[in-house]
Amino acid sequence: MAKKYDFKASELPISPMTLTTTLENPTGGWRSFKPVIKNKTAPCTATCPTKVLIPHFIDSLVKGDLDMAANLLHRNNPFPSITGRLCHAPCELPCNRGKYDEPISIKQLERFVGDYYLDRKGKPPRRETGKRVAIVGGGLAGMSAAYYLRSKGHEVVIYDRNPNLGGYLRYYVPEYRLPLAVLDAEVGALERMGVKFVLNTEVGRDIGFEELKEKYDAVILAHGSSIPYTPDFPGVDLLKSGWDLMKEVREGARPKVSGKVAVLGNGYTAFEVARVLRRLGADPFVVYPTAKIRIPFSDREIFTLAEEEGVKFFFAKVPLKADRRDGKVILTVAEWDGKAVVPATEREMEFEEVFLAYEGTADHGFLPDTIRSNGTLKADRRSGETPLEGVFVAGESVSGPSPVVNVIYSGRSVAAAVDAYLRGRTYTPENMPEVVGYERIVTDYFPKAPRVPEMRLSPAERIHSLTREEVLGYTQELAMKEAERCFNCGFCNACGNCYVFCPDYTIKWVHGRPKVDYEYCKGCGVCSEECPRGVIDMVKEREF
Amino acid sequence: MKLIEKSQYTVLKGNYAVAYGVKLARVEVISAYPITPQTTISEKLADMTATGELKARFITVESEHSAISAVIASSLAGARSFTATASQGLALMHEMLHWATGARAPVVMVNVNRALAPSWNIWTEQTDSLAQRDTGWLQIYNESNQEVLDTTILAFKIAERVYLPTMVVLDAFILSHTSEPVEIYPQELVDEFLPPYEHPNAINFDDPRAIGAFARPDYYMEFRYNIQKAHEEALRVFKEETELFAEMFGRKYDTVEEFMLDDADYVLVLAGSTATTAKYAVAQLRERGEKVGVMRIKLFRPFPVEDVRRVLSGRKKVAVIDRNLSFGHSGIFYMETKAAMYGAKDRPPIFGYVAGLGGRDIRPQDIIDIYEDMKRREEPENIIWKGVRV
Amino acid sequence: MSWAWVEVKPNENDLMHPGHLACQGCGATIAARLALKVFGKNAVFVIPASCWSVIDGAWPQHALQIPVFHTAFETAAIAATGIRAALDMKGRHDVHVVAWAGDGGTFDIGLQALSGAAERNENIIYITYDNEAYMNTGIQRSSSTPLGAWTTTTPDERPEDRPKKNMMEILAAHRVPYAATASIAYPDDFIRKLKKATQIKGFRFIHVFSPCPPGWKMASNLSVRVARMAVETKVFPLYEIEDGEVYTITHWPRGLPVEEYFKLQGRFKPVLKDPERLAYVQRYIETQWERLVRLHEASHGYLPEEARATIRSAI
Ligand SMILES: Cc1cc2nc3c(=O)[nH]c(=O)nc-3n(C[C@H](O)[C@H](O)[C@H](O)COP(=O)(O)OP(=O)(O)OC[C@H]3O[C@@H](n4cnc5c(N)ncnc54)[C@H](O)[C@@H]3O)c2cc1C
Ligand SMILES: Cc1ncc(C[n+]2csc(CCOP(=O)(O)OP(=O)(O)O)c2C)c(N)n1
Ligand code: SF4
Ligand code: SF4
Ligand SMILES: [Mg+2]
Repeated sequence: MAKKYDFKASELPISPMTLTTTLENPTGGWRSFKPVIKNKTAPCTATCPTKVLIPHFIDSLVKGDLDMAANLLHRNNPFPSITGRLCHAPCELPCNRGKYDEPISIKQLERFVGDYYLDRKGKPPRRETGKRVAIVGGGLAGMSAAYYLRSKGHEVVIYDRNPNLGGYLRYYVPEYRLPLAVLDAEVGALERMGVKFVLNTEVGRDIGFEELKEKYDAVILAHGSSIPYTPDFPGVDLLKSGWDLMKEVREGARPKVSGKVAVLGNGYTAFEVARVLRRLGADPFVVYPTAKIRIPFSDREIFTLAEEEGVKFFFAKVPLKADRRDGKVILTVAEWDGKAVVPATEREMEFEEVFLAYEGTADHGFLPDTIRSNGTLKADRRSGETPLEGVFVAGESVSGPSPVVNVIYSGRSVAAAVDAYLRGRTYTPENMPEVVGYERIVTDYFPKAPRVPEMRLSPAERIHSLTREEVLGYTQELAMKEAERCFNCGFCNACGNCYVFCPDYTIKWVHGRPKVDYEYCKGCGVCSEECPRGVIDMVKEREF
Repeated sequence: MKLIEKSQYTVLKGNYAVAYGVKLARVEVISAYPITPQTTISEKLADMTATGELKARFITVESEHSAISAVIASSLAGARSFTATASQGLALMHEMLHWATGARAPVVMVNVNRALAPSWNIWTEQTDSLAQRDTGWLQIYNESNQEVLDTTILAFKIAERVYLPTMVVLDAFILSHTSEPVEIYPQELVDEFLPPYEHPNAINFDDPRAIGAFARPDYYMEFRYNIQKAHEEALRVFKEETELFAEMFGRKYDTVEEFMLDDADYVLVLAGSTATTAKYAVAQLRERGEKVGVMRIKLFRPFPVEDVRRVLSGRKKVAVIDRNLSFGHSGIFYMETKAAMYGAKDRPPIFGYVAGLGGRDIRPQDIIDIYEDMKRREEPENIIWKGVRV
Repeated sequence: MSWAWVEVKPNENDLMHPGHLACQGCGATIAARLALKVFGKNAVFVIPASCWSVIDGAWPQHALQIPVFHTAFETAAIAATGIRAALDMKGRHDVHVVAWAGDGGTFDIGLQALSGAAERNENIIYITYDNEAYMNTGIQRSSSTPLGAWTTTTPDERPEDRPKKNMMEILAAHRVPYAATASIAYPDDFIRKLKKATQIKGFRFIHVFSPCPPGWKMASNLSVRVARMAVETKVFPLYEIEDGEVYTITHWPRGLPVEEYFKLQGRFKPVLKDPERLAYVQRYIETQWERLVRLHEASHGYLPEEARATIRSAI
């Protein structure tokens, strides 16, 4: 209620001139809905397996604060330079901007910020907890877990049988996709953080699992899925290993392969092997069990690249047998309907060589039976907890072949579970607040603008090199331009709309952020309506 | 040499006397719109401001409504402000006359009394100003061009002491366009009498307030009460200021002027220039031994009830001569005089005469006729028409 | 994106207290807030009878942190003139005298005084906040009420059958140095115009579109959106006229169909139900727009690329 006075006539000014201000009139009482400023989850973040804070880091990028952008980005993804190159970017599929013109090129922005920060990151934690964690396997899963556990102040020791960290990334993923320098820099950052590596040491052979369990407060198993699957058909032993080829090439060998060659496989490894063969001078054909339209999203990018480079495909086909005649391999293939071979569709094809490139499976031989069942590990999908106390599992060792981002998430969430375990707390999986749909975006505030294309080599340029990176990404200028397209769904970027349009001046601007003055806010809802990104909700105040 | 001795003596039409009064009052904002018989005031002031003789902004508005609105605003923005009009123009201003009072804008306006249309008639009649009786303006009626000049100066002084708008009234043509000798005082002396204008509620950028804000019933009435109090105060202020004016300028005015009243049994009451005619007629009647005098009402609002009672109580008969009419009732000075006498001791019978509407001449003989008519009558009447052909 | 505004600065000249008496979502209040950001403390608002004579507060309260002079309905322009005259006499040339009037007080009852002040080129800024009806008295039509609209005096059975009066043309005919339309939905544009106005001497006129949720029969949160749609449908173009001659369109609209604007409001229900009428309104909007575009072209000698998309017929 407005303040009341009992002025006597003699106390009045001469004319009806005001004496005070409307601040005495707390109009908040008029309200039936109140605006609540609350950040939400962008669909990109919600879809990103490791929940990268996408609108957040893009906002900092727009504001020109690259260090802040990198910080926000690393919160949920320790290796943006890797995902920025290898990730299949599921985040871009539901991007709200995609419903308006084209989705944001999140992956390229991530790569830009990651690369900017690559040599700057790797600070040791401020406090040590004195707890010790062993990680078996220094692939991406192990590295991701190590990053987060070390940042929490735990002592982290990675055991790997290889002479260096990286697992698949170091020994199989071709350099034109992921330059060694990038991986080395990520490993270097871990080193600077104080993560310890015990290399050339195979657990189960050079050191026992039980011993690790005893020496450490917790053990994370992140040994990957490194045994290539080999199908069973006559003559399979006549064929070459695509995996071995990849490894040789990665180590510098350039075997001569020419003419028509076939690659048999069931995933992106097959596509990648074919691309390597193309670069070695061969004319590769991929024999692939599913139909073209069924290629999973995660494999599509590599498929497209392969196709552009002239790799040919036999879709929905499976090999039935192989023979060697006159130095050539005769491969018999048949149509595959997804469940069975289609009768009377066999046909013979002649190749110079045939390479096997099926996805790998895990080798859990060094582990006790208590945590194994049927060749897989018994573990919680998120926390990685196993029936053995203090033993956790992360990465492909538990999930089987997976995209890098899932593996990173696995390492990150398991690290959180381990941290909770070490501190005697219960692990609670992170909760995502409500996702902001396209209907809450006020697109009027965003001029249409096409996605900024990243720099890439042409297919003709690509097939001439096994080491030259094929995607070159963004310059800072391009990155900024693309970043500006982002709606920042559900994330208050301090655009000021709510403050500018509030008819009651009850949205105040405090330390660069909006703040509602509920004493006077009448609850008109203009702020909520004009927030371009769905940050402000109108919440029912009381029942009538 | 005393300052007053520097006065200039000249012959001026009433409207120019107004203009000189305005000039001497150092008015800063003037806005007016042409209407006979006011127009020559505006023209003279336009001249004075154009030549720089008077340092003021003259706003050549598109209507009287705007003229009055402009000066209310300028007055509340801290500038001494003036407008002038007549008849239709005054009627058009009506809304803003209330506004000026409510906003307590001490503007001064000259109204040259002119009859209202239809029929179109440009000659003198008091109905235009008297119809604005309830707008809260002070109203001061004049008999001569000297008085017009003097009253213009006085009006600013009084208005600015009580923060009420003030109307100075003179008769169309009889004063406005008739030349009489007028003393124009030296500026320094007027400056001594009339200090620079200030309004405590004027627009102030260092202390921003809203002026004229809407007020709910809980507060409105107190503001109205204060306006009434200001009117009551204005009566005292009028006396003080006319006293001071007499000291400084040698001319004494009062709320009512008494002419040959000392021993009078009969009183003729009227306002404006007709008083001169009445005085002439009364002088003749006196020669015949009639005990008659004239009471000229100068201050109409606030109405000088006490003075009217003092003058009229105990007389045998009173005739009020109105050059105006409130249709359906009577002449307005008559009505007011009667109301003032209600409850007075020794109240005489009061007779209401209506004469000279639309500028019809009121000659000395008409006054004598009225006097004789009154003497003859037993019962007072509200309207006794003088000179109408029925 | 981050701070989205070029001209509006946070925490600069926030000279309107909350607690004022405007309805929820009042567009006229947004307009005043934005205007004050330009004028700062050196301005007086002259407010004639209108919603704003209530919004500023009931005595003894006052929302604006600048002096306000309330005046009678038809006197905004002349009261501002009077104040200007007084301030000039006092040497206060540094302050702006701003007439802040509704559409009724401008297009209708105040037109005479406005015309007088404009023609004399009084050194004042006249801003009309246009909510397209007499709102303070409860939604009666004014000459600003647009074709097809409901008001309490143009009920659904007989909606407004005359187009909105073109005030800008009237002002242009007075050859005032500056006249501009603006909208609360385009604060940068509005503020740029206000700034420009403050740098010009003489009579300056700004016509700012200010939706009224109750009067337009819409939810209070839609004020800004509806104002935006009015611009993007070409119903309320944003432009300026200098010296009554030079026309410049300051925002090229997207040219959405008028339904996009109408359907947000209850007051256009009768037109929306009548396809013939709707088509007529759309045609009217097109011809008005094309006329404006031609004036822009004639003033500048060319049309920008964005213009083409907004025109139906080739010009
Ligand atoms: C050719 C190829 C291309 C790929 N391209 C992409 C791509 O474009 N996008 C994408 O998202 N993903 C891609 N992937 C998948 C990606 O590489 C994997 O998801 C990821 O590297 C798995 O990481 P990990 O840590 O779980 O396993 P690994 O990388 O296999 O790491 C396991 C580590 O454990 C070590 N280890 C195993 N057993 C022991 C033991 N007993 N003792 C000590 N150390 C042990 C190994 O030496 C290895 O270093 C690709 C994979 C391949 C093979
Ligand atoms: C002379 C006069 N006539 C009528 C009114 C009643 N009245 C007050 S505000 C108003 C309508 C104002 O309309 P507008 O100028 O459009 O402003 P809004 O209320 O819509 O903001 C009316 C008719 C008045 N105050 N004065
Ligand atoms: S627009 Fe930006 S925040 Fe929104 S989904 Fe796309 S990338 Fe994420
Ligand atoms: S309108 Fe802008 S500043 Fe306000 S909450 Fe939304 S994003 Fe933040
Ligand atoms: Mg209106």
